[in-house]
Amino acid sequence: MTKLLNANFLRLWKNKAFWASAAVCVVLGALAALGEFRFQVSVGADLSVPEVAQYKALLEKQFFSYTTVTGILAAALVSLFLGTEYSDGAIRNKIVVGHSRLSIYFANLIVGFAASLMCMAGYMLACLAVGAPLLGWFTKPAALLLSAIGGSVLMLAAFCAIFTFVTMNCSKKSTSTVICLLGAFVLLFAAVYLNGRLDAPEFITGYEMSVNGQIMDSVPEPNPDYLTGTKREVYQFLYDLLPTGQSLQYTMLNFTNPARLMGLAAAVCAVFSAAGAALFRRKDLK
Amino acid sequence: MRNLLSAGFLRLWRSKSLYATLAIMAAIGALEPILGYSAMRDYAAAGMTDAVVSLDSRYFIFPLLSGILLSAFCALFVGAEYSDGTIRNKLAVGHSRGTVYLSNLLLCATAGVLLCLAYIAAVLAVGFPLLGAMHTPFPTVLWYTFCAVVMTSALAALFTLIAMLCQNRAVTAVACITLAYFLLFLGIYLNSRLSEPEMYPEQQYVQDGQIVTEEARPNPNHVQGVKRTVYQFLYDLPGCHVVQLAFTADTGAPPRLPLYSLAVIALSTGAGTALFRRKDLK
Repeated sequence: MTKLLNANFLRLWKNKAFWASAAVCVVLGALAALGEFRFQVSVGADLSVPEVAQYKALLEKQFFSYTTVTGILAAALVSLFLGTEYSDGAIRNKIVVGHSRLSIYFANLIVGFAASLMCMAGYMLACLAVGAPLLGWFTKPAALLLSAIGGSVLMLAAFCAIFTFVTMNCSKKSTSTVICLLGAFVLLFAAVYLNGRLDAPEFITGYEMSVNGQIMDSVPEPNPDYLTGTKREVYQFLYDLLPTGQSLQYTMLNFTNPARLMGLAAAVCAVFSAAGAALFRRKDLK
Repeated sequence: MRNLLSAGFLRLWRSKSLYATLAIMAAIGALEPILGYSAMRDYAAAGMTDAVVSLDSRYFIFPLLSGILLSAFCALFVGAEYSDGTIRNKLAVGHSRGTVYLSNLLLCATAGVLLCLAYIAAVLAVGFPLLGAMHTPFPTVLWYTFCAVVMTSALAALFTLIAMLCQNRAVTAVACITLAYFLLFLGIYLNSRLSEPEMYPEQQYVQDGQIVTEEARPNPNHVQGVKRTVYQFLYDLPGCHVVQLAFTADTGAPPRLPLYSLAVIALSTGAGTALFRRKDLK
């Protein structure tokens, strides 16, 4: 296992896809902070006033957008990096020299996760380096920020477990790349849809103006789009379960139960790793 | 050219990628009216009998999907030419690089049209009995469909350009899919920026039981000048203008949109053939 990890990391440092992904993350992180600053300047916000900066929590707003970006990038990076094992015949060589299929699978999972984590760190550091001087420091409670960072690491592990599952069980590099990328976007759209349904208000209210000029609140009407009962629980569970659903919650810093999110991410990671390893053990490598 | 097209179509009809993407388009096309019908029943159960989900809203979705699925198809289909060494064989038997490029472009554009048709057939077959006829006038629907198909062909031209110039099939897939999503998100962003009103209108709100009037004021987010011209130009490009098509579906898209698509087809094909002629195929 140690030798496999050494070899994988040696390959990672020379991998163009990894450096390209890391560069994209750094550029996006810097641009996110810079774009927010330019926008605030264009609307005339005075960020030198501490109350304004605290109210807007601008650094948090841009900093945690890495959770959405890194999931998509991990899809491309993991499938390109691990897919090469098949296209270059490296997997067969590893088996021929005596490594077990399980150790090959988990060594690949670990290096894919480590590579994605480094890209994520690149985004965070670039956003901090550009954002902190321009937008001010974090203003939200440290516990909230730390739980979001910790949770997003587990979320990334869940993403990598899914993409490793696909890539290690699909012999064609291009096919696994297409499945991972399209799958990542489909999961993202599913999470946006679930978020939209869960955010629908329970009642629709308006206001009416009476004849004498006094404004009266109208009677709130039930919203037919509001989810209730079991249906709401199922939607909420799926929103918490999907790594993309978690990424939206971390991006908006809008989560109430971080332990539940972390537990579900760990469960996704464990289930996909176990299933992927079991399938890979039986796979005909030709 | 005719031989190349015959061989290409023979391969196209046996392509798993084509049937997989067609099946996805048809499945979504069938699912959309069912979801609409289910929502309409929920509204009726809540007493909102006048809330109607129209077939029109379900029909107009297809260009959003066709571009994304086409990006995956083109990468896999054209990419196989490199991975299987077919391109070298075609050149070895005497076909010119220009005709090889054009035949692949035609095949990808055909696949794009088929993807649109798969969705249209499914949405009409399932949607018509469930949601009734479309309310948008037929010529407007026809114009929309024409604009969407031309836009899909323009995207096929862009994806063919990438696939013919990049020998690594997986990298081609990443580039094509990323480009398709990038153009879609860029279109959504540009739409929101260009829709910013020039002025915030006069507002009235209640404070302590009294009506307070806030005067109209300029909107700092309104895009103007050269920046607006650039934004509008990008918004009109195929991929981005899928959002514009959706917003003008009932009134009719501006005629410049298919013209832009045709221009993109001409320019990308010209550039693609020129670069492919010089490419080292190893």
